[in-house]
Amino acid sequence: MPSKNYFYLILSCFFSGLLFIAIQKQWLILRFPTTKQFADIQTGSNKTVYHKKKIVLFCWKNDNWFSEQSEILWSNETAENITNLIQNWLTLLDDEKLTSNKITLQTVLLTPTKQTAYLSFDQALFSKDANTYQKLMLVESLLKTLRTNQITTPYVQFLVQHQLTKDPHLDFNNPWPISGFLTN
Amino acid sequence: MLFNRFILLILLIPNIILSKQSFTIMLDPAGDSKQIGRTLYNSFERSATLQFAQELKRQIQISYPHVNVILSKSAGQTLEKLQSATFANRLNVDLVLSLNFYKETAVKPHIFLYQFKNQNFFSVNQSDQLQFYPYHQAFIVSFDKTKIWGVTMQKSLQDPNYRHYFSCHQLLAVPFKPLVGMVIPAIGIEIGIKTNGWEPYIMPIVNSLSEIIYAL
Repeated sequence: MPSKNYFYLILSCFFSGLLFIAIQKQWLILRFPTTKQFADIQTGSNKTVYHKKKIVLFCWKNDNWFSEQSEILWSNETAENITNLIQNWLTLLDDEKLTSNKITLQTVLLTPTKQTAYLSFDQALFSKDANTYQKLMLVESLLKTLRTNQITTPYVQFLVQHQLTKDPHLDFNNPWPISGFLTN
Repeated sequence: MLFNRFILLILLIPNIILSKQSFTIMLDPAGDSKQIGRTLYNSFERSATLQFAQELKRQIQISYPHVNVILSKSAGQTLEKLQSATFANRLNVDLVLSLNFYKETAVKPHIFLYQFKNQNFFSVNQSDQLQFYPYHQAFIVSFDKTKIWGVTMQKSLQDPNYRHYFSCHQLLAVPFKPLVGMVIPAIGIEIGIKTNGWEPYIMPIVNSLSEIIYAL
């Protein structure tokens, strides 16, 4: 009789040990209905909602504003919307041959207060021999695209490879207002 | 002792009167010994702007004998960051002209005029009380005066007589980097250079300064 008890005791210890190690190694994840995360999933407050939206992209060509409409998936995440907008805008620039190289957007980050959007590109948006007005209008077309599509972040900081953009003619050490500089 | 002071005062009076009447312009050509600037047809921006500045200085001194003209740098000199701005602010010149060239691809060349402005201009509360400004807000001190002088230059350069040779854009207030840190009125001039060089722009710019110089 005692030997049978020992057998059950050893077996229960073995299985409880297996259970604990599975929880510790996160092979087994337990979610209790009382935790906040579970409640969020149930109510869907963390869920990103997408819908189709028509956007307008701007570029400066032949001394005039040139616009093009497109449709993208719009979410409730501002950074994601900015990323999609700028990727479409860069494609437009490439199609219109307004940039010498294909430029890609690396990262979009927002400050916690959503006052400044940090945009990091893989290379400078303009060639070093371009005149200041061409450079200015390229940046202004990006800002115009953002504000026309209801991006409300007041300032935009331009980065190249996650460093401050260095240009001999335009100062990018400070963030640019999304309203731009053309409305003096 | 009193007599000596009287003599000194008599000697200083012409200087004081002259200093009040004189007008000092600092010409700041783009580039230095390390920065060659943009590529033009058969030269670089650095050498072309320096030659242009030397000729502009000569012509200004001929047209307005009472005006002092200084160059921010000499050939072969290397400039530190903000050196031109520090130089201009310490000398307390009346006007700074930053000279920049680019290779013009359009049929008719363009001249662009810039004054400095950055995002801080929208957020700074201006007050009558004495206060500190960081270097990137130095432009606020002379912003209105610079705007008036810039528009004066713009109007002169938009004269119908020059319309055949070049077109001048309206003055733009943007974060134009060569003008960062300047407390005194500073105007950036960017000229599109064609194969015929920079010579045609000398006299229009000299003439555009007349109203500014004589208004003081």
